[in-house]
Amino acid sequence: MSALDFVVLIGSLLGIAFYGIWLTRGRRGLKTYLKGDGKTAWFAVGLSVMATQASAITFLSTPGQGYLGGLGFVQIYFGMPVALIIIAVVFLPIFRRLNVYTAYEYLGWRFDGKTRLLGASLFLLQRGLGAGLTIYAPSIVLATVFGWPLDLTIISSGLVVIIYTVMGGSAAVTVTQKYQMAIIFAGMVTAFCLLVKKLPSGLTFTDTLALAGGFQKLKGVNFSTNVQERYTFWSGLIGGTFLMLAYFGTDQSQVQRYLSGASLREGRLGLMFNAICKIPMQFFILLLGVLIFVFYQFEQPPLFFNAALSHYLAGHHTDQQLHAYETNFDSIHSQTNRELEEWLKARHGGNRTAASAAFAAVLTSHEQGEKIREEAAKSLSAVNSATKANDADYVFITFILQQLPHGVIGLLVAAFFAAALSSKAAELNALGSTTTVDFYRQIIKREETDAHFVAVSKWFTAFWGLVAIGFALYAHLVENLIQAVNILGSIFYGVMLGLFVVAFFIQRVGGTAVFWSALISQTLVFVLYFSLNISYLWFPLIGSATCVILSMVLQIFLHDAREIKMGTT
Amino acid sequence: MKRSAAVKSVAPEDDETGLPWLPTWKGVYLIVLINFVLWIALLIALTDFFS
Repeated sequence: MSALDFVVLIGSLLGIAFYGIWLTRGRRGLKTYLKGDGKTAWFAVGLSVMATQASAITFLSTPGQGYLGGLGFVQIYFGMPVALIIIAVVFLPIFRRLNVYTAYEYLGWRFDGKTRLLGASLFLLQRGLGAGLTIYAPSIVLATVFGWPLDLTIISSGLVVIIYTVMGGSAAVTVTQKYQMAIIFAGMVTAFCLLVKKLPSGLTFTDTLALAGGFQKLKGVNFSTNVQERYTFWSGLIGGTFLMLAYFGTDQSQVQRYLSGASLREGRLGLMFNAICKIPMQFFILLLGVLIFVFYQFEQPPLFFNAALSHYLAGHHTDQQLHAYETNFDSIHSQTNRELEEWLKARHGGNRTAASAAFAAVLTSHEQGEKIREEAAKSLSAVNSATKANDADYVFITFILQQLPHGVIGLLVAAFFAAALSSKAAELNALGSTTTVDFYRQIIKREETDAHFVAVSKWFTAFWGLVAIGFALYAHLVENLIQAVNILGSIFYGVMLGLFVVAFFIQRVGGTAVFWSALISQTLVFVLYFSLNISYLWFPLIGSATCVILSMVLQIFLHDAREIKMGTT
Repeated sequence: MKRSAAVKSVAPEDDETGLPWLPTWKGVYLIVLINFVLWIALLIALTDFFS
C-alpha cells in the first residue's frame, strides 16, 4: 500500500468514527445507548440493517465464493423477501407496541423468566461465536496487506472494534453505518468497473458470460430436490425463509437496528428496502467473484491466493518440489491461455464445432491446473500446519493488491474495515445489551440508575469483544467464512424462531412446555447436524418445526392450570 | 403466565406508507414479491443460456 492508500484508509475510517461519536455525544441514557434516539428515518434503518448483516466477510469472502462456486450461493437469500414481509407484518408491531429493549424481553412477557433466559442464552451463544468469525475477516486483510502474523492482526483489529463500539453505543452504530455503507458501495462499484475494464479487449460481454457459463459459474438457480445439495432453489426458498425469519426476527443485533426507527412505518420501510436490495447486492458481489475467475483465465494467477501459503512459498524457493508445482502450474496456465485464444477465434469466426473442441481442451487444462494446486496445498499443509486456511477468502484481496491502482486499494481496504466495524459494532452492542437487560438486570440488580446500566452494558460489550477475539484465533480452521457464519446460525436459529412462533401464534402453549421443547429441539438439531448429510439450510426449519410441534404435544400432557390463567388473553 | 400476542391495532399514521405511488402496505409487499420473481427469472435465464 502507498501513502495515498493510507491517507484514504485512515481518513475515511477515522472521519466516520469521530463523526459518529461527536454526533451522539452527551447521550447517556440506557434507552439511547441501547436503542438509539428513536428518530431514525427508514433509509438509515434500511442501511443499518443491511450493514449489520453485511460484515467484512460478505465483501471479502463472497467474491471468493463466486470465484470457486459461481452464482449458486445467491440462493441462500431466496427466503429473505418473504421472511422480511412476515417480520414487518407480525414481529415488528409487537416489539414496538411492548417497547422492549431486547426481543427476549418479549419471551419473558409472553411466557416466563426461564424461557426469556433460554432465548437470550441461545442468542449469546450463537452470536458470541459468530462474532469471532466476523472479526477474523479484517484480520485476513491486514495480514495480507502488511504481512503481519494473523494472530497479531486478529487481536489488534479486535481491540479497535471493541473501543469503537463501547464508546458509541447503538446511536453511534446507526449514525455511522450509513456512511460506512457509502464507502463499501463506492469501493465495490469501483472494483467492479475496474475489473470489467481489465478484461482482455477482444473479450465481449457475451464471451465473458459464455466463458463463465462453460465453467458452470453462472448456475444461479438449481431446482434439484436432493436435500444433500447445499444450495438449491428449494433449500434457499424454504430453508432460507426460516433462516432469515430467525435471523431478522429473533437475533437481537438485527431487532435492535429496526427498533431504532422513528415509527413502525420507518422500521417497515427499512426492512422492505433490504427485501428488495439484498438479492441484487449479493448477485453483484458473486458476479464480481465470477469475473475475477474469468480475469485469471487470461492473467497468470498465483499458485495460492492464501497469504500464509504465498509467504511460505516465497521463503522456500530452494525447495525443489514446491518449485516444480509452481513451474507446472504456470506452464498449464500458458497452455490454457493459448486454448482460450483458439476458442475465441473459433467463436468469433462462427465455427461452433471448433469452439466446442477448444473449450473442452480449456476445461481439461483448467482441471489439471486445479489438481496441481490441490497437491501443492496438501504437501504444504503436511509440512506447515499454519497453512491450512481456505484459499477462497484471499482471492479478492489478492486481486485488489495486485491489480488495482493506488488510492483504490486504500478505498477497498477502508471498505472492508467499514464493513467490519459496522457489523461488529452492531453485534457487540446487541451482545452487551442482551447480557445487561436479560441477565444482569433480571438476575443481579433490578433497581439501579441508568448510568449504572450503561456502564455495565459497556463492560459486557468489551467482554464479548474479548470472547470474539479468542474464538477468532481458531477461525482459520473453518471451511469458508461466509459459509461458516451461516452454518453456525442455522444450528441455533431454528429453535429461537420456534420460541417466537409459539409465542406469537399458539396461545394455548405456556412457558414450561415451550422451554423444555426448545431444549429438546436444540439437542436434536445438534445430533442431526453431526449425523445427517443434508444442506445446513434445512436445520432452521427442522429446529423451529420440532420446537413448535413438541411444545403443543407437551402442553397437552402438562396441562398445567397455573399456566392457563383465565382472563389474561 | 400466558398472555396474548395478537397485534390489536397500529396507529393511523403507521397505517400509511407515506410513499406517493404506494399508499398501502399491501402494494409495498406486492412490489417486493414482484422484484423477487423478476430476479429469479433473470437467474434462471442466466443458468439456462450460459450453463
